[in-house]
Amino acid sequence: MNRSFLNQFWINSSLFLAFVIDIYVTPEMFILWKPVLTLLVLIYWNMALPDRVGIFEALFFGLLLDVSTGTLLGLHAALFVLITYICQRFFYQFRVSPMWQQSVTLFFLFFIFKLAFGFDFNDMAPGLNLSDRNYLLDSFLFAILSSLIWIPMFFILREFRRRKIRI
Amino acid sequence: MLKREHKVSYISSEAIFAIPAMKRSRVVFAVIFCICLMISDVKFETSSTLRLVSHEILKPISLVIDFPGYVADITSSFISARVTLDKRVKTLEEENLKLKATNQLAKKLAIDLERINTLWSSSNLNKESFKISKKNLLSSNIFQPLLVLDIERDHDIKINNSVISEKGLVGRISNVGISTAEVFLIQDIRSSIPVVSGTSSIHSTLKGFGLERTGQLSYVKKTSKFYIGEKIFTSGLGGIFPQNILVGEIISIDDPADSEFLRIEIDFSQTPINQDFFLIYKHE
Repeated sequence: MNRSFLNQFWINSSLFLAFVIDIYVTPEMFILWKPVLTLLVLIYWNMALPDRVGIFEALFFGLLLDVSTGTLLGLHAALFVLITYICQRFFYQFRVSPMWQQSVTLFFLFFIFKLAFGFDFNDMAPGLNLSDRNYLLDSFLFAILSSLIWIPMFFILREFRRRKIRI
Repeated sequence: MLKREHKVSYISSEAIFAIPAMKRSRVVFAVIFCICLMISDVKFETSSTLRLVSHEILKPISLVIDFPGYVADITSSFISARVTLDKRVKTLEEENLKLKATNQLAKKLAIDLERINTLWSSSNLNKESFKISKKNLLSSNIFQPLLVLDIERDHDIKINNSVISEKGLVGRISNVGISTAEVFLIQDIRSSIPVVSGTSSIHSTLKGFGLERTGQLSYVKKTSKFYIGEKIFTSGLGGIFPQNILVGEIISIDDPADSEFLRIEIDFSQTPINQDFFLIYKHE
């Protein structure tokens, strides 16, 4: 089989596996602040192989998450596309920075990501906005957990890349 | 070599091997596409059909995920079956003797049970109308949580059937597919259900404010007398939910100076988190 096709297959498989874990496997006790593994994996591939992952993957998995989680159609997708762009724009700087620095950068990225879901686009509950203390706390915990999970995730995906994707 | 894979230096005319960032025009196009999707979803609720289709397509994955647990259960029960069976026979023999002795006392209980059964059948909830259903997934969307239930293929479940757990009202069916059904939870910020208080019997509307959050009674006049700890039940008005199903309990009553209504917070009696089975009630 064509090497390039096989590499693409492994990348997409890892993204799909992360999506399945996000939707079906993660325990419900962390439901309010569980990390979005699909996004973490997408960020990793954008850092490691920016020429193999792009807008199509971001759009596809974003829309898949939208229809599976019941969020506004296109919200995950738009955020995924923007994060993909940011990652690809700054991956040279990000890739060489130490792990703690990567985690801190991702913390802010994830915090903003979570806050975007606090907007009441349909104006269904007047008074419900980002100033909601509980939601800010949930977003903070989500960002902390996601940035902490980035470290093991990075090493797991790097090992996976070295074994399966020989570039 | 492809043209996009390198640039040429204007100074030395040497190839610069660098991976170019994605084109901004494509990013802008993708974001505009997403915004169009969002607007169409807000205006026409396009996602509801897509969601149902996606749940049906992704259902085999949930079955695959459940499979290892199922195999583990069967294996462990097979291994432990013979050893435990002997022990169980002995204990059951002992139990049998004890039961014979206590049977005499049970006669009184049987009379009480008969009374309870009469009460149950006299209530307007028809137990034949309940269908048990297993959870397929619960989304992590805080404000608009999505509960998906597995249903039988030859079901007669309809939109707006109530979903109940043993602790109280969960929500109502909002979408029905071939083998899955979506539940509109009472915690959803779009939810608004007619309720009545247990002690003071005052009618009101309960609004959801997201998963793992308290609900609020809306438009309650300041002259109304509610009590902290008072139970809240469905009133049955509107005809969607059957009446007298427990919804929650009053946990706080505020009297804001800048509003003509009371702010009453309700702690929902149930949460779909960590609960696997639900009852779908076909309300006629």
